[in-house]
Amino acid sequence: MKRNAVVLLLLVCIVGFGFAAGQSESSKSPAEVAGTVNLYTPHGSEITDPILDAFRAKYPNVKVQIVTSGTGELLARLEAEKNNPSADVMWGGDTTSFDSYQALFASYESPEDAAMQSVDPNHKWHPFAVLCQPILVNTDLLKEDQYPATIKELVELQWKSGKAIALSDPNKSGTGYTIVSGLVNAYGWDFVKELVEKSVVMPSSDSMFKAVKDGELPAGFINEDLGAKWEAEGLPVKMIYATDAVTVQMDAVALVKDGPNPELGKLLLDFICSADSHKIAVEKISRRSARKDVDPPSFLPALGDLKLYAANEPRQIVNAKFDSLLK
Amino acid sequence: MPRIMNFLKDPWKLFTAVALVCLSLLIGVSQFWILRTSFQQEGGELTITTDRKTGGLYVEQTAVKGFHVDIPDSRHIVLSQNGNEVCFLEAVASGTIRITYAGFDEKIGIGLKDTELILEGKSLTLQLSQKIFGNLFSGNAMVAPLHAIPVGPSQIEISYHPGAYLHIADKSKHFTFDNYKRFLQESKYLEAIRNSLIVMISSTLLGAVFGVGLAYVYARFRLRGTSFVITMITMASISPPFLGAYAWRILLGSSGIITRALGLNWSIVGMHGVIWVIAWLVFPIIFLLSYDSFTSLDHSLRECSMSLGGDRRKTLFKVEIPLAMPGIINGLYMAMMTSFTDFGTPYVISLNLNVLPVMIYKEYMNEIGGNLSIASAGSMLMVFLSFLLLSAQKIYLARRSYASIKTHQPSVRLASPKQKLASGIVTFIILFCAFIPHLTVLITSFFEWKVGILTNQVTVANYTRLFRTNLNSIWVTLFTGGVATALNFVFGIGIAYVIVKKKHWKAAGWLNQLVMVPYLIPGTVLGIGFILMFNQKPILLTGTWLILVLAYFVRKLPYSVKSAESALYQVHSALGEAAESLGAKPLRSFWQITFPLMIGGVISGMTLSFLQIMTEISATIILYRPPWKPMTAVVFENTIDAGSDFGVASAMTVLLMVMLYVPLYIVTIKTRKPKEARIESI
Amino acid sequence: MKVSDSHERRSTTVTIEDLVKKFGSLQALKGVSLDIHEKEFFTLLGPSGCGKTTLLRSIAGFEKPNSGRILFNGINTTELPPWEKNIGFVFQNYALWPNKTVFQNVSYGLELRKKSKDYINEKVQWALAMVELTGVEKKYPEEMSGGQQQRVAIARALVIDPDILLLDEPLSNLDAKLRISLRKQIRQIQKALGITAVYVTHDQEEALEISDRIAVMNNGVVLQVGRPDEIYRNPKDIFVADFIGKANLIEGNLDDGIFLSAAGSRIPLSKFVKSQQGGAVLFTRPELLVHDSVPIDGGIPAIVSERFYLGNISRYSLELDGGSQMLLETNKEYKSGDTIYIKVEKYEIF
Repeated sequence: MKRNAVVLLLLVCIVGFGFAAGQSESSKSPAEVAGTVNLYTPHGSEITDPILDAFRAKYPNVKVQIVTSGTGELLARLEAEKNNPSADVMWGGDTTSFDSYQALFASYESPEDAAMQSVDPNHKWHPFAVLCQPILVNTDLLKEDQYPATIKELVELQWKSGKAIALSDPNKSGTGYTIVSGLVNAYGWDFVKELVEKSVVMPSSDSMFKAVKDGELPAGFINEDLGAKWEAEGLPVKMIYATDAVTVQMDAVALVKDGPNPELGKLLLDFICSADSHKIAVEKISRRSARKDVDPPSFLPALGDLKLYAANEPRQIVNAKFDSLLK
Repeated sequence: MPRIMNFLKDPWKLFTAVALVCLSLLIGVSQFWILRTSFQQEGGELTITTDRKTGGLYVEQTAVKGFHVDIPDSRHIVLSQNGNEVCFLEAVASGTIRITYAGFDEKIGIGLKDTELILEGKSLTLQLSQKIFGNLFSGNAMVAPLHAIPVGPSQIEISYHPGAYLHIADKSKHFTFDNYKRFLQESKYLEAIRNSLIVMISSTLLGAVFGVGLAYVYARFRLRGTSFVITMITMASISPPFLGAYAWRILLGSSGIITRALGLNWSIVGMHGVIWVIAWLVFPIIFLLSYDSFTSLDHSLRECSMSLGGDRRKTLFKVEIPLAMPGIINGLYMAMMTSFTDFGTPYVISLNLNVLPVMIYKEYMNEIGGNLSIASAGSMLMVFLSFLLLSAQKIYLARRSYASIKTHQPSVRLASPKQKLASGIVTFIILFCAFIPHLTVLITSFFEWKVGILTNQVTVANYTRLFRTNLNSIWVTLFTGGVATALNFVFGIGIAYVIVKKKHWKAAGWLNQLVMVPYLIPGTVLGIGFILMFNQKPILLTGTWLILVLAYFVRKLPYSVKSAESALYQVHSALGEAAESLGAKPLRSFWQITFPLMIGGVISGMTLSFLQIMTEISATIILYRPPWKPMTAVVFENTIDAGSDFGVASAMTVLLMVMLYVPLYIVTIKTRKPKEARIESI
Repeated sequence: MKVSDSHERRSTTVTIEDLVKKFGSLQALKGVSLDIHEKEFFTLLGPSGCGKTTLLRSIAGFEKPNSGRILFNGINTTELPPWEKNIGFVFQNYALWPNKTVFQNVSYGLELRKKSKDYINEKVQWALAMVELTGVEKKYPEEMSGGQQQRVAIARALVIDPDILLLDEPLSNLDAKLRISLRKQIRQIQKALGITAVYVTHDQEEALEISDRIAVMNNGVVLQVGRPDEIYRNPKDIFVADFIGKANLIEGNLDDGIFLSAAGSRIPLSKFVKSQQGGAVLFTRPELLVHDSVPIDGGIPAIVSERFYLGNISRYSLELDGGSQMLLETNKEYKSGDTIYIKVEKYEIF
């Protein structure tokens, strides 16, 4: 009897919860919207909280559920879930990542697009922030006269193990791709080969950042918003904008195709793209806005003063060439 | 008919059948998918650029996959697959390319999916896309999408942006051995295998030195605080994922608290750190199983050896350890598996140490689509290596299938003051090391974190934020863990019984193999398999609590079965048979006789399994969806990101520890007490 | 009516027909056929691994034979599981449940049969009295000696009035003295209850002492079935001859009433009737040799090479002319180095 009960219980569970998977909310009046919107984001709460708090203040009856993970993980999840998506909005990740996964996202012409410095011709992604990757050095490990002023000097940096630089693998990290492809853009693959010989190649951008912060390696690259915060907190790190080349990428946000709650998704996306939340982004999380009408944070150097290099080769090529350098 | 009647008459056969079917579905189907993927490869891809002046084509050879590319001149490209020419490309003009399929008179369907152009032929389906790199800040120029016109039989003309990278891919799946060949030839994969083996063996050996040694001391000597030590070690067996490694790094990293205080030019980050942290992760498993084994030895055997002139050392190595071996081997085996498949520790405490689970995870979770095939091949290779281990352990245990009826309790010896002192010091050091991560997390949870950095501000803000935002996770963890453990309890005991007591059944052998399979599957891989299996009708489970429960159930089933098996090995089959000879049917005999005798061992095993479920991370991070977000997912989200607030993670971990250790403490005390009491009575 | 008088028990015959049991590639029983009579104390005797335990467990129903039949009172029970057979089974390792008291152990079978409380109390008392154990009801098995535990196990088997009592080497875990007294007790109980018992042992002395009949087994085959004295005196098989008691087994050739040992000794056989010639093995029991210190008619000389004192008798190791060895058991006194004369009168040729 007992075994029958167990089997029955299993069956009931399987059947019952197969049906219970979805949930739907519909909204008519924009002022009184209610429901739940699902957000996938690689950003930590230090980035999402200020903007989402404002969103909640404006729409008190909309609940935002967040899944945080690496960009790669999230995209892989979206890919795996594409028949039954549970996310409405993906917020974060550079534009090339979104380009590589176009099929997962819905075309949506946001009213905010016009104000942006760049627009996806397919309207899949919508710019959020412009992000530079300056050099990050650990001030405990390096003396001031050792700081590299240029990327060229960075490669010359002497270190006991021979490998002084933390570099995330473009095969596994979007930031890694931006850095490698940007430097290829500036100096070509032969130079990047030298760089790789001096680098410990990391499986993710987070581990690259932490390796320098924690003093495991003396130098690496960092997203400038995080670097600025670390400097402000008095950590033993210093950001250096190399005078010869700084890599740059554009962070974006996109509507997931066939998400459970597309209307609320659009609402959230528009809010994230709005001038108000971009101002919050600048003030609270030191990000350069991708909007034309929002000025960058005062303590970051103006983009016009930097020699900027963005990615200029598709990921397949960057990955394959980088791989062949590692062999 | 009589065969069927006989089959139904024996409930164990029915149970075996039900268990086989359920597990085959859960494990087999998802794994079959991965196996299939490991033998598949996408047809191939290449990227073409165009010389804007001459209109000539250029192919970046390192980025060609699958195809063989011949370039007779700069205007022609010949694509071959497996030695056969499949397709010819010809530059007609700058920005126009003519594609001819090798199969004559092939009708080619033209489709547009998003911005991708699809050329669907009988012999080959190509997907084309273009990528233009303009100025990042003025990339809003509208580019004409790819356009295709049929111009003849098997012939299409494509117009594209001449400044674009034209990406041509055959994404259909082809059967191949290449994934395995690559895995066994390329140095990064071979290195991952080597590192994994080194980590597995070293950390298990290190863990065994602490685990077996301490277990022997406490099983043989009458020492004060024995039950306290056992309780503490049982507790140490659940170290929340990531945080153990993270805490050691906070303490002993290059700029760790201790490293700085002592001015050391040393860091725990690296392979040695991975081994060290995992050793502490697995040592409790080894200790608990060894201790159980030592205490259930018949002490007459030991006295027998001593009376035959064996001194203590000889008795230890010639009699006690060999007799306790089944339990110790079980512990070592579980430890090896844990260290072999551990993902969190190497992920956090090594810069770039390539071990198999991290490598597979990273191959799966890749922003540019990942390489599912290579990851699958890697998974299967892990499965194979684990299978070898499992076989070795099985052969070992089968060769010594002795069981003694527990009629005697082991003798405990009084320790001399010197021995007491020595064992006290050793115990203190071991426990201290085992609990450093917990202490670190506990203390840091009361400090303020800023952008992932610990400040010296004391605060309870971490907890208030936690309660404000993540309270729901506690219920999710308790509920999913509870249901999964209940399932594990029923199936674990039942399967163990069939495996141990009905070993001559063919089905028992199958079940035994099947039940061990999840052990060989990294949690991440199991998660992906589940997503793929349950993401389509008729069984739509993604996003529900049930998928978490099923994943936890499958993932921890080997633990449950192993612990029930261990307990069963201690119950001689004659005890159940005696009841059957007196007229008890098998289920009754099991329920009234065998079950009560094995329940002590089973409860300690199930407790472990429950705790491991509550701290499970690798399948969870794939499968959880809000609102079903377990506590470990909250920890994960707040640990990995370089800038995120570690405060919430540490507060959540402390909460998790409290929730785990309180019930664990009670259960441990309850199951250990009778044993203690009986030792006292001798 | 007193419960102890209740005779639900039937006297049972067991017929085994061509029983085959395989464990993988190992063939434990190779076509065994036996008839066990009612109220008989029947022993399966053989070295370890001979299949005797497998046969007993097949009778109990613990093992399902691959082919052949087992009949109780002519009714086919081959396919019946043990819990439908009403048997009493006594295990080598007692198999008492350590978490139950003696009373709970013994009463378990009765509780399964849903007997009344009074009946159970009285019947348990009766069973414990049968094995001469009283006042131990509340003890746990581990508080008792091995002999006491095995007697509890016997009581547990008897209490359900089994049709047949099956004992699997019940005494092999006990010390020698206890073994002897307990086997006598088992035999008495069996006689008193008039129950059919099948007893497995590897101890030939034990088998000879308590059995009505013995089946000697080796390699999954029954070699001989018979009363203890038959088996002892007239073994049908060289294995049986060697396994039971002490035996002189000498290889050699037969030549017209003369046995020529392989070593070169010449042994005349008296009363030689068979017309057998050629290679053979000569079997005699050491105590059945005719011997004297003076020459005897038809005897041959032998030198006493060693003497073993066994208490009431002595065993002598003899060396014959030509080098063959023989054993002699007698209470007569010889000295080492003496030449004596022996004659082989009672013997078998294999």
